Amino acid sequence: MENQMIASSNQAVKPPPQNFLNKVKGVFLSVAAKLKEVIYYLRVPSRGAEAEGEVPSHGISDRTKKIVTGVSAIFFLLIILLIAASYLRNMGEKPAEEVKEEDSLQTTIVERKASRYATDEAVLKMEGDVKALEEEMNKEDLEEKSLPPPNLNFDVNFTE
Amino acid sequence: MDSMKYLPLAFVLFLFFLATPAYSQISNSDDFNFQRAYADYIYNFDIYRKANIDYELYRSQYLQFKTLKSQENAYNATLTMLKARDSTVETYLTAIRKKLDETPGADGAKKQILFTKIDPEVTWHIAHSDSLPSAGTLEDLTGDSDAAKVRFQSDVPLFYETLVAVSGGKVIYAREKEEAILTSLKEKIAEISANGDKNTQLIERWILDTEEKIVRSKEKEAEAYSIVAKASGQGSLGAYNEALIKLKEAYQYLKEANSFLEEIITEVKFED
Repeated sequence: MENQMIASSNQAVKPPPQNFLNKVKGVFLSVAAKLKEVIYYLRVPSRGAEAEGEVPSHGISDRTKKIVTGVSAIFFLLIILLIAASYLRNMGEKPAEEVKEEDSLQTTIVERKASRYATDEAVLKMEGDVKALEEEMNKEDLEEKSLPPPNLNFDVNFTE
Repeated sequence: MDSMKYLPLAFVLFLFFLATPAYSQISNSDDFNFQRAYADYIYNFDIYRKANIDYELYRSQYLQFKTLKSQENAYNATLTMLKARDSTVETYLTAIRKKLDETPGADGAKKQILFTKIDPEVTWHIAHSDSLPSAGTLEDLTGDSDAAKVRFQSDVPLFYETLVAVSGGKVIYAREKEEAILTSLKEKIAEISANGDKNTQLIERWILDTEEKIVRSKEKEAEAYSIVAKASGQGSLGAYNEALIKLKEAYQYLKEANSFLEEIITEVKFED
């Protein structure tokens, strides 16, 4: 009972990616074992042939070699892909933590107390001046678009 | 009954006295502002455009028929066009002069230098217009036109120099306002620091950042003026555009400095 409790609490503590990795590892181990069996099975007939006194030109046929190489290559690729997928999943979880930090920062700003200068006449005047200047600057266009030099005709002559 | 015969005369005199103040009000130089100068310029430019169309028409008729009548028409049309062209340049110069005069922040010394350059040009175009002969040959008018052409070409850098001074004035105006706010803010921060109400180290660092922005704005401003000062003749428009870009960069620094000031004031309003 106690063991069960411990196991369940461990499961709760363990993050999902590690669990997932363990499962993947188990699958790979079983696949590797099966692969070993297949290789062994493929080797046995050639040994049998040797025992019978027929010396094969090759230990394993070329076709079999290709199949085994292909299958193992696919498994290696799958391993790499799964590792990459689990890594990316871990990466994806990090921004969520950052959002939490922002939230905590915002609450600290809200909780700040106003100083005695919050109602100070001079400070309020400065604040008003800055805001007025900001509005003025946003409205102002530096370029005098209505005053470009006039385009005049100076080509006065009476010859063709 | 005798007094009744003076009644119309008295009425005319009464109307004259009523009209005189109204006239003097219009001609008063205090009321002659940029808006009036700009309206004058637009009005004269319209007259010029129509006169130029007539000139082109009568010129082609003269070149086609070569008759005395077509020559007379071409002469009159050209004379009208040259006068309208002089008036356009004269009112344009007056408009940019007034604009510079009314731009808050425009540097006083620079203003005076530009005024001493603009005023003789206005006088020249008025005199040139007055000197155009009401009767003469088409060749005389061609010579008069060429003289105005040379004068106008030499005026072009002055036009752009004045326009840059106007735009620069707007930058100076914003900068001076910011510097005034910054001075008051520094005094307040010194007071807060002396009272020991708040740790002002952070605010003092932010003040330095704001001052840095203003310094960079001044540098861009100086670059703009040096570009225009170096320009002459044909390259004036390119130099003007380049200077304008520098002034816009200077203005951007001031906008950033202003938002820094806003942040500093917010920080002052809260306890540590």
